Amino acid sequence: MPTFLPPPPGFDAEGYARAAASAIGLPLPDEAVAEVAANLARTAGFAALMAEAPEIDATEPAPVFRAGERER
Amino acid sequence: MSLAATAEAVCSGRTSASETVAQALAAIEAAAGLNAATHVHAERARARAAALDARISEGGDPGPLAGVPFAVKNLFDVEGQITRAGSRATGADPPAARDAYAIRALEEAGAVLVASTNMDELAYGFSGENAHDGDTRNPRDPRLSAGGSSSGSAALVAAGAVPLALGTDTNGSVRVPAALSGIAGLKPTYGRLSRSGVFSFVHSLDHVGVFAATADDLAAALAALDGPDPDDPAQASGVSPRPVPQELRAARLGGWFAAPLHPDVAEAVDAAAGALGAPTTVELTLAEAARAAAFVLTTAEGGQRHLAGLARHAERFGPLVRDRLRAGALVPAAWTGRAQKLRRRVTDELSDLHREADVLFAPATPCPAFPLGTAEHGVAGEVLPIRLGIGMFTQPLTLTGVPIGVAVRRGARSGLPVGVQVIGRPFEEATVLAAMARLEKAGFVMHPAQTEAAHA
Repeated sequence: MPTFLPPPPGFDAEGYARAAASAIGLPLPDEAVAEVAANLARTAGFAALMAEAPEIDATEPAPVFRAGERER
Repeated sequence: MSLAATAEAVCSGRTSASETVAQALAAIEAAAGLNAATHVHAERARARAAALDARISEGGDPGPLAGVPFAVKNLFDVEGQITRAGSRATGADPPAARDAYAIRALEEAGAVLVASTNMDELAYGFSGENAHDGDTRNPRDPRLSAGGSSSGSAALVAAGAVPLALGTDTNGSVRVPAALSGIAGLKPTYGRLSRSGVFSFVHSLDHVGVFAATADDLAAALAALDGPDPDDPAQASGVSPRPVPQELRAARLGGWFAAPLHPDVAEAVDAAAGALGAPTTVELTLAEAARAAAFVLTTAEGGQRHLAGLARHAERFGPLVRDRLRAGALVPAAWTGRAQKLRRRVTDELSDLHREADVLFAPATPCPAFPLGTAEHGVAGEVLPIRLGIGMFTQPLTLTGVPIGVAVRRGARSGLPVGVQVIGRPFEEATVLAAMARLEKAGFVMHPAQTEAAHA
């Protein structure tokens, strides 16, 4: 059932958004913070859902770099 | 008329490319109320058609798609024009130096580009609503969404204005509009078709896709588009798919894909099971997690893709995308890393299911087209946010990169199109198209809306 999943408890999405935006040089006007934080909270919910897959952190990621791919 | 029949009529002199192009240009103008075309390339198309006719009169071979008019989503490069991607954020970009590979490939086969089409801004959406260009309207009922993000391409084909159009599919942007507009659609295997000259959204998920009336027409277009392009570093090479099996084995995807379903969609999936002789139901247990992974990769890569633009001129981005992209740019690497691992896991799981079935099938959307301007819709007694609900069956599958076609039929209750996804093994588009052709014989095909009205 597609519902919005809750973000992890204690996740301060507004604080995170302000701090991370400074770190990557993204101007974040005050009036945008609430909506950006709401989107991040939603994404956090999805990220938490993925963590439920067993041993997901040890899995080989999908994109694999192959040296010299252009020459082949 | 099929693409092959149009080309045959043009080659044999029963009609001309100039005539087929003139008809398409008139039909696009007549369909202006749909707001499906954003740029009509009339002068270019007429010149191209005249050159084709001259070649034919000199005894030359004009190609297997001779005189077939086609449209492209306005994120395909067209020489000399700014590639808009449905956004004002691209307004200061330089004009494209050459046509996208896909346009060149179709025109080398004799087809003629006639229009670029409306879309969700920067391909981030499923509704065809656009803050800059206005909303695309569904030819089956103009109050409704045509589906998105390749909304205008689907609408022009569904209206019968062009027999062929290109879109892109990242989370379902070909499959959703095909289903809601009532035409056949194909998202080929990730890496099969060149994306060079196509405005990117999510590099690890973007696909070029095709809209037409039938599986045969999709096959004809795919044959022309399917070629190696050194300009696309993500294109696959050295692939040799298995031939189409004599006895097609099909199975239904259950679990996540079984609910919630509008009754018209549920009946379509049952009908597909009958037509494909598929008594078994199998489950992709990671479907919900795969949808989450696709969501995370989309917002993160999309945000990174537009980071410089958001820093420089955020005011040019429309309100439907601006803050979603800002939030995406801030997604921590732990989440995207997990998503790429989940992608590997679900791709392996789907591959296991394909051992016992040449094609799997599932609903394309949970319900038929929804009214424009709505944020929520009701499906089987549930109220769902459209942005999450409409792509819930396409999004998890995109992640696996396998080829997926959409076959459509009219729902008995709504009177609107509903679609079924036909899911093949990697690079086995021919098997997907063969299954779609079998579905067509069982009623999974719809005439263009204009023809329907004329016969009503």
